Amino acid sequence: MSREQKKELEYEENRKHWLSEEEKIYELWEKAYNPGGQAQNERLVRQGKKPPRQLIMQLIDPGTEFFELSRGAGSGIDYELVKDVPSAGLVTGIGKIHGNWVMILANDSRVTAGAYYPISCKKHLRAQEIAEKCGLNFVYIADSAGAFLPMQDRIFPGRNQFGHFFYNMCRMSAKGLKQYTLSTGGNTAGGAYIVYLACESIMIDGMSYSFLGGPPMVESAIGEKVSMEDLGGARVHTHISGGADHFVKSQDEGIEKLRELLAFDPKQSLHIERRKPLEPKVPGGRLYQVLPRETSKGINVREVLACIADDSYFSEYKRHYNIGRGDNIVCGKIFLKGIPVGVIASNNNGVIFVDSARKAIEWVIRCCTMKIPILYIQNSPGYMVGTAEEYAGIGKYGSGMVRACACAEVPRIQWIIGPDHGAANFGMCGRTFDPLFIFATMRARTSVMSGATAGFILTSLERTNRKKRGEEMDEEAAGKFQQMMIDKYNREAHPFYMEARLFNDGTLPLKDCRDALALAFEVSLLKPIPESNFGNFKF
Amino acid sequence: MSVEVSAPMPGTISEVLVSVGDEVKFDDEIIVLEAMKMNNPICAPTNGRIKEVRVKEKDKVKTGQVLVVLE
Repeated sequence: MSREQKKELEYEENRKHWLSEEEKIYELWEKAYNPGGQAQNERLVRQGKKPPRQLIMQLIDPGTEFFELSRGAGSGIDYELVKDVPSAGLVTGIGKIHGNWVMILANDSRVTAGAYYPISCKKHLRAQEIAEKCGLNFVYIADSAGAFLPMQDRIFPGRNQFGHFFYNMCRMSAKGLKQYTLSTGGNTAGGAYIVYLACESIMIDGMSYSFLGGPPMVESAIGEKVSMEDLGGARVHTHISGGADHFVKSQDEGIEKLRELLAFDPKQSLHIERRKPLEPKVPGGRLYQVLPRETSKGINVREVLACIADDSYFSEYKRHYNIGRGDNIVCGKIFLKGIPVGVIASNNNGVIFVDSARKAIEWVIRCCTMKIPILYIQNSPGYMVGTAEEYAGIGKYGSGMVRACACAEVPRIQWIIGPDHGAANFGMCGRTFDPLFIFATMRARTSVMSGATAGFILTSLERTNRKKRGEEMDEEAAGKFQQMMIDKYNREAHPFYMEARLFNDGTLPLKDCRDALALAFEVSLLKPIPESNFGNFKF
Repeated sequence: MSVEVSAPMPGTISEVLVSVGDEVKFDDEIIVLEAMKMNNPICAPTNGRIKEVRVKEKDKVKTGQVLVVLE
């Protein structure tokens, strides 16, 4: 078999593998779209309500798509009381209303009546964080029972918990971001603030309720007997208390009202010069072929770039610099649907050498002086180890990459297409370095080290510990232990495990990645790019 | 003019994808080197013909050791 034939065969195997892996993404989404099955849907119908995603599609401009985030949040989260919280009980994402990007959040009352679990709080706060950073107006479609009471100690008292929603609403409002709430159910006790703190809020007759204490609490506290409707229904708050601003008769009318309120905003503009978008030259679906099935296998990231870049065109920086070491990170510029984007991309096996780290630092600084956003393409298992690299200063240059990443004020987005381990997770803009968005693929594996490495290291540690206790570890026991560690690491590094805990913003099919990245960069460029100031680099 | 392709890091040769006389193009994979728990493709730095292959599978190599010579 010729090398070309062998490559073709590999490509075909890769394609089949990733297509079948991605079936799992669609299954995960289905779980988010239909929690509770037929029974919950019928309950909604009886209440005269539509499922949250249907309301959102009605809200956004006709013919546009809703860019949903973190559909897998809460999936398999495994709390003591609840194993799964589909989509964390709420929908978040970005959509266009009158041509402007808006962050939209909707509680899904089919999941424990929209009650907030710890992971729901995290997802709610993440949506607010993105909106605040990107300067997006916000629509809340609120229908929640409030905190999930059995877990109140993990929902109520801490900084990044329930009350922080309202702190954020106040701060975002002070920064000039507009927030609108459509209440489509109960929003009680602290949860009522989502109605009162909005710039303008809408309540639906016979469907929306807000009160600080419900009828049973009122009766026990002061002996007053009152119905929900008379205590805090839509009529009470729009006609008497003035806590809400618009009175409507149905969800449909409420959605129309939201569109009306957002119709007066000025048109958003992009703070970068956008060219005419061009399709990549390589055939569609190529990305499925060029990514090897095993994460332990090196990639040719230039082929990956050809799949996402306009016209498959990549203007590379330092193409010939120390090939084999220097090009384990590839740097350069592409147009992504017309938007100029700087690229820092892991290449080959992704192991970062001194040469690749130095080049990456130079390029981050260049992107900041050019004021173009940065796409980090992550496929790195870590920095190179051993005396040669240590003496050459790999720690110093690794920290340079970290510093450059942390201080770059241009929008940064991470896309994970392979191993994502150790310090390379920091230098390549992982969650702890606050990129505006992180999108994973089925090939992503994020953990402190790879399963194979962890298995080896933890087994030798265990062997030493047992020796101290005077026990011998035979080969069979060692092998078993090692496999256990490998399995644990592989399970926890999986993109779904990450997505369930909000460590990424969603696992995407490869075919959707170009569109998603372009949309994310567009949203991240609605605010002017500030100057970057770096601290003290060491050279 | 001959061009030497050397190991970028210490490791074990896991695959030799070329033999003497093969024509290769810039960026073609010619060797796979196992190191850092990864299979690392070593690519041709230029277009050319394989003049020598100095390693075989399972060989342990050091940084800078010549693996293949192109002409």
